[in-house]
Amino acid sequence: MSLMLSLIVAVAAFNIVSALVMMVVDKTTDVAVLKTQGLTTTSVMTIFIVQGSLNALLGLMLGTIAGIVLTLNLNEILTSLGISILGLGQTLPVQFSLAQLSLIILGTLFMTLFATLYPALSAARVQPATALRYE
Amino acid sequence: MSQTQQVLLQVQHVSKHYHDGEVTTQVLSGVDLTVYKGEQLAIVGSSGSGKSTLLHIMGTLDTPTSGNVMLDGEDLYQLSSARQAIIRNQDLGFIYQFHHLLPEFSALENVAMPAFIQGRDKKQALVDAQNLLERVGLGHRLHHIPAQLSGGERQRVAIARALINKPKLVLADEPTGNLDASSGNNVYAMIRELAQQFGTAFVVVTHDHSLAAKMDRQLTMKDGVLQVTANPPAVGLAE
Repeated sequence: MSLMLSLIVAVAAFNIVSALVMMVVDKTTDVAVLKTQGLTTTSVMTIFIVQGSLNALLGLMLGTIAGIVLTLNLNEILTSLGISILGLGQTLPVQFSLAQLSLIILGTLFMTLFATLYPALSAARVQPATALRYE
Repeated sequence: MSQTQQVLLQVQHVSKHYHDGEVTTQVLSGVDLTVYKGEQLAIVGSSGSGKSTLLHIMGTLDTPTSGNVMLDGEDLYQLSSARQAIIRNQDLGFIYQFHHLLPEFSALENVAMPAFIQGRDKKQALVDAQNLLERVGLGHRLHHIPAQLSGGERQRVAIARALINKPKLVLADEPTGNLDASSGNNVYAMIRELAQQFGTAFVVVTHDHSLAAKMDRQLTMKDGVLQVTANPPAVGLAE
């Protein structure tokens, strides 16, 4: 179960990486222009880390809320959909652990933050002279 | 140009080569250049002559293979990248052939951007930006985004942006390369007027000799070396 969950989070983290990398490529000229105006390498990194983290946080929030609601009402939802996994009259045992939930949230937060680092670094490495020459 | 003029920027024996595999391209071969405070200097040369590279090196955007660049007594390439960024923000302005305005922001915000980066109060920065835009004749285009402006207007926004932090030196790379003759003339007239009014030195790289001839001093870049072409200053182009 935890292996499956880690894989799902890993895929999500890769999505963050690829979305941000696309954004960095798209914004290379803008980053170069801002650097010529005196924006520091650290600030460029911060912009992309904040951008990635905000998306991650939003996703985490929505995911957690939807997850909790679905989990707590799992049997009702299954019944209303007419799906019976364990046979008629039987319900799935639902165990809700706050410790597990916090662990998952923290782990996801850590992985997504880590995922923003590579795109942020590549944005910070943009050389204005090179980026503006090949316009 | 008088003997009393103060030196603003000195390029000392700057060379630049690029390595591409086993091929080495020599772009600049020992360039010496002195820019004085408040002067308007044109560098002409065919494309590929290294003039843009020189401009980038003067603006801390590219590193020389050898040689120094001194701005107001500071050796630019001995400084940390953070200090270089502060110098780009406060002492230098850049104008490019392609205006390079940020597409999502209005003319006003584009002009105010360097002031935001500097950390100036947001309201004050916007007021200063508005004054400058009115100064370049774009008071009626404050809230237009670059896509809604004409080529000449975009370039005027870019000029206003280069001046917002009252830099000592503005480096312009083919500022009129993308404009028709009349817009180009207007942009040059504006550069000259603002340079005199603000006391800002301008170094303009161009291949248009007629526009270059309107500047105080004109140099030609050929095969990675600078040569005097016209209006030789009393104080020599380099030591």
